[in-house]
Amino acid sequence: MSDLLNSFEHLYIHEDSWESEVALRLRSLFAQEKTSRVSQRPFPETSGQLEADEFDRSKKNIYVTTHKGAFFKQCPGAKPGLVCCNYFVLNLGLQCNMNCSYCYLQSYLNTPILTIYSNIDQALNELKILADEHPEKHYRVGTGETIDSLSLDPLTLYSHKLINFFRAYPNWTLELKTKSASVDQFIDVEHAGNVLVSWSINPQYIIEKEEHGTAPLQDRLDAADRCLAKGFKIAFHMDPMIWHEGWRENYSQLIDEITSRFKSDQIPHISLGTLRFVSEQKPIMRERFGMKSLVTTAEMFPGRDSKLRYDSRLRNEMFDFVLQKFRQNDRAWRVALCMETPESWVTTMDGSPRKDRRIADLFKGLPKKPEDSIINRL
Amino acid sequence: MDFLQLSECQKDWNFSPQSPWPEALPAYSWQGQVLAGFKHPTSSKTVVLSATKLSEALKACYPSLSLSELARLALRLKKSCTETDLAEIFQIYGQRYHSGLFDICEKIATSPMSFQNWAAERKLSPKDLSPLKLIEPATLTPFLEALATKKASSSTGKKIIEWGIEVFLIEESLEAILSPSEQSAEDWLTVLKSRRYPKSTERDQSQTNKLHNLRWPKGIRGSWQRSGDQTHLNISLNISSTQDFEDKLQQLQKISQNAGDLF
Repeated sequence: MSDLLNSFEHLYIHEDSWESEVALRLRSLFAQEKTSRVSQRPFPETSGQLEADEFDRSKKNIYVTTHKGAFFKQCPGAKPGLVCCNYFVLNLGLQCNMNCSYCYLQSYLNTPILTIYSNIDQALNELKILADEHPEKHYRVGTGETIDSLSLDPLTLYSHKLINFFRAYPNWTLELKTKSASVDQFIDVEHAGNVLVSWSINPQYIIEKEEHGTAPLQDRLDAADRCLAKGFKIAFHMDPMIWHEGWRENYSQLIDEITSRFKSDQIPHISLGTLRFVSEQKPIMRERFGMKSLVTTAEMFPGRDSKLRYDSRLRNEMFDFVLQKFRQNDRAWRVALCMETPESWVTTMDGSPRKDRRIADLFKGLPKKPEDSIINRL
Repeated sequence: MDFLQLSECQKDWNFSPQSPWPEALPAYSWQGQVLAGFKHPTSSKTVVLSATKLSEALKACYPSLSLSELARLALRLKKSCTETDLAEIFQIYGQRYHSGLFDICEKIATSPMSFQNWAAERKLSPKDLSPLKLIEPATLTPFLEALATKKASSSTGKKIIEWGIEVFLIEESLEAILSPSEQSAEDWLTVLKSRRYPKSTERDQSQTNKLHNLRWPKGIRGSWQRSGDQTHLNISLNISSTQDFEDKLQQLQKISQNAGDLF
């Protein structure tokens, strides 16, 4: 905990959130001289897309404030031309305290400070409206789109509120997605068996080279073990897979590690994705990580969604390699591609995901615009 | 209209504007700072501009300034101007000021003048020139000068800057990105692309070689083409009759049987 606290230079709390539950907790953890009560967002001179130095600074300061607008959004993978898996996101903050070279927040964020929303109760209200409307539906709700679900959780303890809330909706699944090993703060919270803790994983070589400040692979897998022992569901996202000399050996070892520690029936799904980013992200990545990174030096081409991706043949080769490795171990492993084109599904998975019985549930149609119903009601 | 002797002005912001100030026009000054007509004799008088802000006075002298000119101006003004003044100057010429923009300007202003003029003529934006932030322009002088010498177009030049600087940083070699003087900008770009995307280029070339090894009948041509992250075989047919069409389809059938591991 002290390492986490020391990684921040300052805590700013908007006066509207000063007495909020999360602010009270953070005030009790941070030294008084590192805490300020403010009436407006710090760094007001910084607006628009962040420059490299502004982005670096934004990771070192926390701002607690209320979120204006709807919390609940459909996953960005739900776009024409991509096959998506009915995943919905609940954003409880912005920015991440870890520092992956490929992170899409580098081109997404226009807020110059790591932000934690204090009005989580409003977020839960939004969820309640939808949950009461469709209690029988199997929505999956994740909190790890614009902020890691768990890396700051020892500070906020938002996991407690979420897990408690989801206990009343056993058909729904809460997905906490992380690159940290921070699970001990919630591991004893009573749950309804519908909390899925998932880890983005990569070979340790990639973690050391590209996922700065994240937990080592072994720590992530150990944390997954502890969650499993307490009845939480666990999943893995082998995403983004990053091409490098020796990628076959490294990904092979990673799969061996997973298949030796876990059984296929213990993991509801493993999603695969290869490196991708929008072209606007290139300059900031080059500036922040130089041209020795496997990400900035990658051979990327514009895909149909205009994101830069590896050549489609290389992607398929990587997907195929990983799939075959899992299938050699046990054909029951449920592996899905994330944010991929129908062609890649057909090439590497022998068809549409909706036809694969092992993972078809993930791709079933659901009421498509829950956020609309919420926006209309709020 | 007020006048001030040029020699009485305390500061001279000669930022080497691309077009020389017409001798027929008087020099202009603002609050004792020469803004235009830098080469006029010191004995001449300057017209004193009454604008309240430096940015407005500059705009009165120069209705438009290229990024290269702005970069040189910003570097000259840096020590005497506040950040707000600089931001206003950039804003009045249509650029959103931020620390990153100033960093790019520093690089532009310290690059060879021929490159600066080429970038101005091609109206390159801060985004187009952002790779310069990664290097010291002095280390790449022959590379940057070649862009001007070869009169690279805007679109070709942008890619040459990006891929050239990336290859330079990956391979740590200036030779790797230089181009023979007789090579066109477009051919230079092709070479840089093959160095920046070596594995994909090799893979595409291998597919092209496989295609060449297939026996293509007269009137049928196949080429391996890349479209973004996808590659495909493109076939063109010259058909003169229904019979010819059927014959060519049969011949294509044979080719597909010999295509082997093309796909």
